[in-house]
Amino acid sequence: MSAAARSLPRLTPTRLVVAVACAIAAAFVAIPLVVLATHTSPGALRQALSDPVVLDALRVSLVTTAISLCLVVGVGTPLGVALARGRFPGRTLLDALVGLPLVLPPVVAGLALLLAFSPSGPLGQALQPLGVRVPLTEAAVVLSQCFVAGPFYVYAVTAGLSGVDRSVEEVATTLRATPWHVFRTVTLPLIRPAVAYGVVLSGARALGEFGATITVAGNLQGRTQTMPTAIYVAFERDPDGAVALAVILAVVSFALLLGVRGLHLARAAV
Amino acid sequence: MSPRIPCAVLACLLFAACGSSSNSTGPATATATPEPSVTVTVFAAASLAKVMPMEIAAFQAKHPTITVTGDYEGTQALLTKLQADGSLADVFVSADKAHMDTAQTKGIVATPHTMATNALVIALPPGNPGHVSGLADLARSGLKMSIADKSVPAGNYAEQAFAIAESNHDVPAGFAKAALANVATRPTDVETVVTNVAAGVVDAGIVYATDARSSTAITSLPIAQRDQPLTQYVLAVTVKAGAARAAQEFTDFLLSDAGQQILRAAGFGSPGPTAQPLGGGGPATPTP
Repeated sequence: MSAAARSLPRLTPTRLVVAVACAIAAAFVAIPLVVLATHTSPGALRQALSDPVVLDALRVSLVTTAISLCLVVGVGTPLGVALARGRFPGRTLLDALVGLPLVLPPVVAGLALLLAFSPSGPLGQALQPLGVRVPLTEAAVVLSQCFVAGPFYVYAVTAGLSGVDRSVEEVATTLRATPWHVFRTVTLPLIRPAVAYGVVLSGARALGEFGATITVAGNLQGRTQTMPTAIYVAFERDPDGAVALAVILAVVSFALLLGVRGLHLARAAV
Repeated sequence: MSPRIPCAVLACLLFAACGSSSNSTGPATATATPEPSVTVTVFAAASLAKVMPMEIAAFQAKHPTITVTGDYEGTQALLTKLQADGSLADVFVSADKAHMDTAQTKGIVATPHTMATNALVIALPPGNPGHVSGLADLARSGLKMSIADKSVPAGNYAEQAFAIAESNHDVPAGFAKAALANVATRPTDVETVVTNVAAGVVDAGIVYATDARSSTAITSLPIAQRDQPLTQYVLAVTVKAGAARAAQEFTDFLLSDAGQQILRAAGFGSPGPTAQPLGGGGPATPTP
């Protein structure tokens, strides 16, 4: 902390306030996580990584997160474009609606999904003739992740698009390019860093999703038990094992976010 | 409980107790007496969440200077908290003997006593969509079931009941394995099993008779007496209890005729002749 202050050339009141704020923020996040890491050992980590429960949870988490990301990108990209560029009635309303999962407690999201998809709920009833039951399945894990992680991607796309100089696209249009061609060859390369940023951020959020998942998807090893759920269950049964799991997930998430940071710099350089 | 990131999960669980004080029935007009009031914190198994507030209300009516607050979660979660900090609660009520034994071995609690017993039933959603008419149906292919996680007393009891029924030949051979293969979710407390069944996301669940009795959203089928495992609620005052005397008074009340009557009325069974006190004394008295 003091190292940050020392490296400053001259200590003005403004700089002091900034340095203190940075130190508080860094300590606030780092201290609990470092304490967490000190509560485990390489042996415990190795043991955790050879535990079938952990391997199942890692597999479920990675597979469902990958599927969720495909869905989020598939639906979120056109949605982001519409929100950034579209002029249609209800655009502001849609914008707010898309962001709602960011502020809802995930447990509320899970409860809402559960009620909608339960056999007596409207979506559950609509799916019944097809023989599809969503609650307590892998599909419910994916739905939960899309619900809570989707907005991060959509907002990254809209933010990226708002920074694009429209005259470049207009030039392409005057060269008789179709709108799709313009989007693919001009707009998309320009917002690629923003899209990548959205993918990683939303992927990290999906990987860590817990509250909605345990509510609507339940807890079954090998099917719906994700890493966060496994940590929660392990904490009640075997706190030491839970710490090892938590460290593994924290490391994976930190690596993802460092990736975000790298992409962020890359975008700034564009 | 809605932690968002895994580290928050740990943080929340560790510190949840600090901000707990849930479901207190409030102090009973302590203004009448000049004595300073004390607060007794009770960690009780989730399946006691409905009856314990009634016990607390009855106790506080008799002891106006004592405030009792209850925290109701899966027994295993409560024990984990107590292992982190044994002073978080003054009284621990476990839904099985095994968790209390652990608490006693680790020096968290003094002498345990059996408070009550319970029985398992098959919980069914309204309309019984899975057409379940007995234990044997739970092994039918395609049926979806919710039973608590193995670490939860209720989940452990459910697995025991399946095995006992099979060894008693009350169900076909291979029943326990087939029934467990039908389990779609293993919640971390029995209350969530009730919720799963009530929402109709499963065709059946295994819960306590008292859960079925207190919920209007589910129906239930009994499990034969001879297939029941011994489901015991065991209580003890913690060694590090801040309000040890008041805690002792509360546990005495729970074991008294008045306390037992409230439990009987809610459908809990008597502690039985083998009970009170359990296990030949607790660990050595706390060294100050």
